[in-house]
Amino acid sequence: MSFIYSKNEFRRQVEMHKAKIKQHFNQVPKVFRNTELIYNNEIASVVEKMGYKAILCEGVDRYLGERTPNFLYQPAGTLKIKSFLKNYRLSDDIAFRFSDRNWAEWPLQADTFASWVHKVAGNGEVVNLFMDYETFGEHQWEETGIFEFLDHLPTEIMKHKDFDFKTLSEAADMYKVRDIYDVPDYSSWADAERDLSAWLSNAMEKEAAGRIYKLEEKVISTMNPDLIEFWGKLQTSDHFYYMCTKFWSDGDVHKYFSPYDSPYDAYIYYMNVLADFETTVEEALQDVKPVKKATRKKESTTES
Amino acid sequence: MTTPPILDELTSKADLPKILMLGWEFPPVINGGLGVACHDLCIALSKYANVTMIIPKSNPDFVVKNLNLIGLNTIDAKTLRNIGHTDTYKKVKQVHFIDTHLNPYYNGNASPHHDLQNLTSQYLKTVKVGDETAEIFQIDDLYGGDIIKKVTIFGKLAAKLALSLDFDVIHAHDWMTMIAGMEIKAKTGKPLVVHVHSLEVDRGGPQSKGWVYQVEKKGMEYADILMPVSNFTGHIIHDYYQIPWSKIRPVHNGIRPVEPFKSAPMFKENMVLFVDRLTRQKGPEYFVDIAERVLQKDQNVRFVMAGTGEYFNPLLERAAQRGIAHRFHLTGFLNLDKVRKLLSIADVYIMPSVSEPFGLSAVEAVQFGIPAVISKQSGVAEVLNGALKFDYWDINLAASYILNLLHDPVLVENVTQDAYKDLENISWDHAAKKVIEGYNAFHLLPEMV
Repeated sequence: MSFIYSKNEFRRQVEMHKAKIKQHFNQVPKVFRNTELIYNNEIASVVEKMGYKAILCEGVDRYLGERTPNFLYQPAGTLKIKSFLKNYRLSDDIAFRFSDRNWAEWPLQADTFASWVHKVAGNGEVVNLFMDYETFGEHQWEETGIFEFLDHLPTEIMKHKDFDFKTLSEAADMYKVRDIYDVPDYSSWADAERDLSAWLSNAMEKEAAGRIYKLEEKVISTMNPDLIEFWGKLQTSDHFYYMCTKFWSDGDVHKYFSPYDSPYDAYIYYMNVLADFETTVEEALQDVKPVKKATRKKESTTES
Repeated sequence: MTTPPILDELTSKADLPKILMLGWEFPPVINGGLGVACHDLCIALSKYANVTMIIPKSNPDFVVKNLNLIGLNTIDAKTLRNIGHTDTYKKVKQVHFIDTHLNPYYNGNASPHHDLQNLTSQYLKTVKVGDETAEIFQIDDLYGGDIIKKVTIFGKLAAKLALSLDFDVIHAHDWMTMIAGMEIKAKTGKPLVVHVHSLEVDRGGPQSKGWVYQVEKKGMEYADILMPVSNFTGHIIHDYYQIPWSKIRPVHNGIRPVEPFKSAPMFKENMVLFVDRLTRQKGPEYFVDIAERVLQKDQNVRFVMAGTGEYFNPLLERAAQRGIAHRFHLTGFLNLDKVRKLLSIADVYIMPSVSEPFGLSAVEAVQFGIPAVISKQSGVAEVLNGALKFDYWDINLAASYILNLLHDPVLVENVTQDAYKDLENISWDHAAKKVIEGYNAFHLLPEMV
């Protein structure tokens, strides 16, 4: 979410993540995927300047129109970065509907799903199934058969000679963009709206997020790695997700994942922590800035 | 849940289901929420059904549109005696006033309705029904042990009267009318629905096993469907009366729309408001404890309790003992206008009820745009998303909610906005539809052609 409030902080976090991947996997990432698939033209543009050759995003109907998400697109206002659009119908078949007993397709078998994927043949080059890791074992518990489904899926997909699996970098190198994908406003993969409303729609969320990002200059100037780390953690989008008061639409989903009794509790606890953190930062700043003052004090004590 | 087609298709009033309601309190004679709830539900139901309501006592000047209201006080005992065991309708004559007024909730020494006694004493009349003599209707004996007899006599009179009426369903409200409901069901074979607004277990605590509890248990066992005003009450019916869930269908109360207003504050301090009877069920002593916690952190708050009850004096003492009497105000009984005046200046509303079947007062606070801090042991917690909820014993959490609301306008804005949205779904029309849906789901109504 940092991009919405501070491009500097956004870059800092992306660089940190890049270093982490290098450290653990000895790979330098080439394709970018933002938190909760939050995306717009401007993010694509900034990410391009940071050296990435592709970016992931939601294939939102209101921006796609009649077009299919199954090609690579060029984000409006960019030079050569390519965007991968989530095929939300096929993705949600697995991520949301897989265990829904009221769904006409339940229980979904790998061969059935593969046959839907194969229908793309002739009108698409990529089928982008994007979903949380939580899909496997949390949204869809083991008893739903999700792991057996995954076991069989690659074989079933590969039964069609035109289909195989590629890494994002391979696909980005292999296929050309077919059209411009113009997303002026933020999109995401959350809730029915697929916008920022899962985190930033009510007064509490805006207040909490506004307050944490307002601390940027002070936190950074403490040069205290612990405080900067803590500040980063307080930016985690889930904090704001828990404060969401969509009781009347996606509320049950938010509630399922929230450790709090209510969105108001989420907000109250967060604001208490934040108030405490603000004090800590102020104190740290007093310690940092007047280095000389501290020394002088020491001298004066020795004198007396 | 979808509305059954019957609600939309039927246009002719004659085709509508015929409900025989049995009520106890009814405007203008009301003591608490029951009278208002019965009245408003009846009005809403009259859109979907022909409703006849039998109550112990009606005011001849009080006419309700679309509602056939029969006060037993307006019916001659002789007329009643002459009603035969046939379906033939006999004209009901208004001759005598029989007062069966009692107050099922109020246990204190002083009555909040002194004027009511004076108003009605002239209507006292001794009647004879079978072998029963009617000294029990003595108005001076409001809270005596004769409640049992009053309720029993009401049951007999109402059952007699019912034989002259045409109806499909008997719909009784709370224990005071359950005996009447059972008698009528036994005599006519018509299905009995019991609407549960409040139970002895709410009022007296989980160990209640007295006569009222027994009547409630028997009445609910004998009923075809129970319609508690919340899931919370549904659970009590199931857990404490051993009634199977299969015949429990909660119907949440609605609320009458009001024109909220704001007034200039009375105090320079913030104000936290409690409006209810001061009785065990409402958890008033927790309010004192919560107030104490709040005042430890913020002296700039006043706590106002509107209402009366047997806890009045103990609460005064408790507040004094805690040394917070200077910030704690007990107003005694207030009429609706004065309660609204308080609502127009309050900053936070609190309802620490120990066992609250619904809790209309919290919804009234919401109508006035006041953020509400309510106990989870309430029915209203099920329909108010826009409220801060605590377990009634968790005084620390309640105090922290109050403090947060008093110091964080963003939280107040969010809670009250959410609560306004909730209000759209809290209506008597919704409740009436749910009642009819319930009749249909249990096939209580004769097949419509």
